[in-house]
Amino acid sequence: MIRKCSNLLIIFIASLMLTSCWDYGDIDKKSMTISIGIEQIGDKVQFSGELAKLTPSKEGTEKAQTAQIYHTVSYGKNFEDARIHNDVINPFPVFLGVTRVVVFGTNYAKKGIEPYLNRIGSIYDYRKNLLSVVSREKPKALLNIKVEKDISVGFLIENMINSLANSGKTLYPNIGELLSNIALGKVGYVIPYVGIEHDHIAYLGFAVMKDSKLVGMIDLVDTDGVLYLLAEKPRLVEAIPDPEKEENIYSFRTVIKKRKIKTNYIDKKVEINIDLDLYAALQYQYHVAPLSDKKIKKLEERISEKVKEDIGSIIKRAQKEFQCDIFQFARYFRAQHPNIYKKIKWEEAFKDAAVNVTVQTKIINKNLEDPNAKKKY
Amino acid sequence: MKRKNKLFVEKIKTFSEGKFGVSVRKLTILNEEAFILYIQELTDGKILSDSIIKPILQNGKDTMLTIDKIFSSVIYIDDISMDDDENKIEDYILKGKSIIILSNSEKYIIANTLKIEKRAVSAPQVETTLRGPRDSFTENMDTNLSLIRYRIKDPSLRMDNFVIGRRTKTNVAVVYIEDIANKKHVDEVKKRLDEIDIDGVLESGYIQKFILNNTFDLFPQAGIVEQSDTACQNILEGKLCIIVEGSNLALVVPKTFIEFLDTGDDHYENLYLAIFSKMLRFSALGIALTLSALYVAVVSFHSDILPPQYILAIATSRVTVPFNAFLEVIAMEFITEVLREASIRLPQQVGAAISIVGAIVIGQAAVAAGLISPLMVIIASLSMMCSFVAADYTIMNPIRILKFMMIFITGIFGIFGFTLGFTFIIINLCSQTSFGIPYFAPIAPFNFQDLKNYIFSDVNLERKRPKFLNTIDKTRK
Repeated sequence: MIRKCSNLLIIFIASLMLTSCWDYGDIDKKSMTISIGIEQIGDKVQFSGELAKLTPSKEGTEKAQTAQIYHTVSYGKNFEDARIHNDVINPFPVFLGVTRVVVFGTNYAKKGIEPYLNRIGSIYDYRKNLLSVVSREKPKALLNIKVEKDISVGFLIENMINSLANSGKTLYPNIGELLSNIALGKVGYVIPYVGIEHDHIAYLGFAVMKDSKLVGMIDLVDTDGVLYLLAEKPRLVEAIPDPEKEENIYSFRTVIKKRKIKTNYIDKKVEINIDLDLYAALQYQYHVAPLSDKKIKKLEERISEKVKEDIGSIIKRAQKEFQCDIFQFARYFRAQHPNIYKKIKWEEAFKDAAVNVTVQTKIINKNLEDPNAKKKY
Repeated sequence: MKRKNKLFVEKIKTFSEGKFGVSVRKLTILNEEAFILYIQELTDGKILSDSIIKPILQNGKDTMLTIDKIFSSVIYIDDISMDDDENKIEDYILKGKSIIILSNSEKYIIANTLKIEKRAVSAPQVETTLRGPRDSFTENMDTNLSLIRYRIKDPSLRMDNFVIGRRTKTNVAVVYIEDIANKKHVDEVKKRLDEIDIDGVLESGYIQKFILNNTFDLFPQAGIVEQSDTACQNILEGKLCIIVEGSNLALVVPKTFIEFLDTGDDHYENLYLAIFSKMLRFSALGIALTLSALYVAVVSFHSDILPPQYILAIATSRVTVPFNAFLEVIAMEFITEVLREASIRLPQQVGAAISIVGAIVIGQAAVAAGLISPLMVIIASLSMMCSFVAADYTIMNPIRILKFMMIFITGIFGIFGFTLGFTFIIINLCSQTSFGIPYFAPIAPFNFQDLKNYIFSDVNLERKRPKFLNTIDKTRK
């Protein structure tokens, strides 16, 4: 009995010392940081914060009050210094569990975002599925924009990127994935690029990171190639002109049926073979006209060509302009040729790699309205 | 005068002094004297005068009556017997019997003229049901036994009688079907009942306490049953039903934890509804036990486990609350428990007032005054509502107490404490037994067939009796 009790006592005392009420802190007694902006201003790091202002619901209203926002700015020669300055201006301890987005300024991104990603990855306070974006404008200016579409800028950016990523129109790389790319070492990556357009916060494309430093941007219109290669389920719209009548345009929605990436090493040269099988669903035509089998075949070829061109051009850009493997082909090569991967220098090999893209498209929904069609689809 | 007669006369004299409240009616039949001893309050006067006194006087007008003649051809009572032990006279009288003594006889007649004030069989009050029959047990033991006998017309149905209580001499019956119920259980129950030595038994709760493994066990090991059909269902399953005189709640043993969440409705209703209701009750039990503690854990320790928007909503709802979450939960749970207690104790006429006061004080005023967050009101009400879902309310009593234990331990240790508390409860449940049966059966030890039968609660699919009961007759169908 005494032994039993002593065991229980040990469990309780150990728990009391290790966990317990020392960590007690009610949620409403914390400064909830919704978004953080990091920028390099001179030789100092600038932290701009967007915090939730908790106010009770207005008297006489039954409706629950949504959180309001206030902003903070702090500076320091490093993160720790800036954080201390940030802590001293807040009424309660800073709580990062609600942080939705980390906005990197272009200056800071050019200097390298790896230190801050490591900070997020290692400090317990942050959520690891945090979204990080690069902002064209200074984060402080971006976070100060008055948002009417959402609770705050942080929520707006996160919801915007999330919904776009869910519909296959952008990528939502979380901190864990970025850190995994950094750990791989020889590859680059892309993160969403945002900015202010006509007084509205907008998604502008991708920021290209090489060695975690900003080396370029990919405009929204050029992102299709990246999405065909990296997005989990890209669903993109392709507008293909009629092969016979240019003014009639066919609007297709494409989805990937199969994506196969195979790498080879021939004559000391890396070869990347990308096979894409696409389904294209015809949504509508600008001018309704009957579709023949021949035309369908042609349209399929056109879509394939267009996608092939999109992919080809972006890979070329990565090889020549950014000079880094932002598509993480290194992972495929390492898995398929582990011994060769150890010997070669992937960064160099990628630049000269031969890339073969094969795209096969099948139009699945012809959306036919032609009553005289010979064949039913 | 014979020796026995002297003893009888002494008894009659003692009773005549009126100390015991025994009435003595003296009759003269020719030259002989006859005495009728009875307790007025316990005796049906009409039966006594019409069926005993009247026939004796009429028959004794011109013929000499012997005790055997009276026994066999004079009195009209159905339940009569003869005895010659003068020491038992007192016991018989106290049990409501009438004693007929003739001055020339060494024997006496015991006639059952017992009259009990009893209420009619009515709808269940504790174990309410939608689909089940409405004839529930009453405080009268004969009525209760008749309700069972009328449903189970099996010659193997056994009703073993015990008299417990040195002073109250309460009748207790153990009802079971001999060729189904496990003999070990029957013997164990009988042994435990035999061992009870107490001055009085007023309710089946007394018996329940005595047949527990350990007085300090938190969870009940015997179920209560008010509906006669549920009692019969349990008896058919191979369990034992203990009916106590003067109690409208019979006991069912052995009973496992999950069986407390079973209702008669489950067996009568559609299969899918039974599954749905079972899941609902289990979730409700979980909610009643853990929701408030989880609120403390989330609000005070690990807010990160919720999505950001939820955290903001909770924080906004708590912004005016001056107490910390732990105190808020304790205060709110205390208030709801007070409301519950008050609503049970208050007379029906003012019961409605309590619900109005409760609704206004807690639901509106406390939130409007900013003392309690609206979310806390939802949690406390949900937690309270969930604690009413079990058909046998006795299983929810420990849950109510453990809820506070969970809140305290979570308030101290956070989610770690929550896990610790929950683990202790599960360990406790798994290590208990009810008359030798693992309390957590058929989950631990696991038996798929029994669990399936329990969840489906469909008589059509339930071919066998629960394996853990180890019944003599194992098949139902």
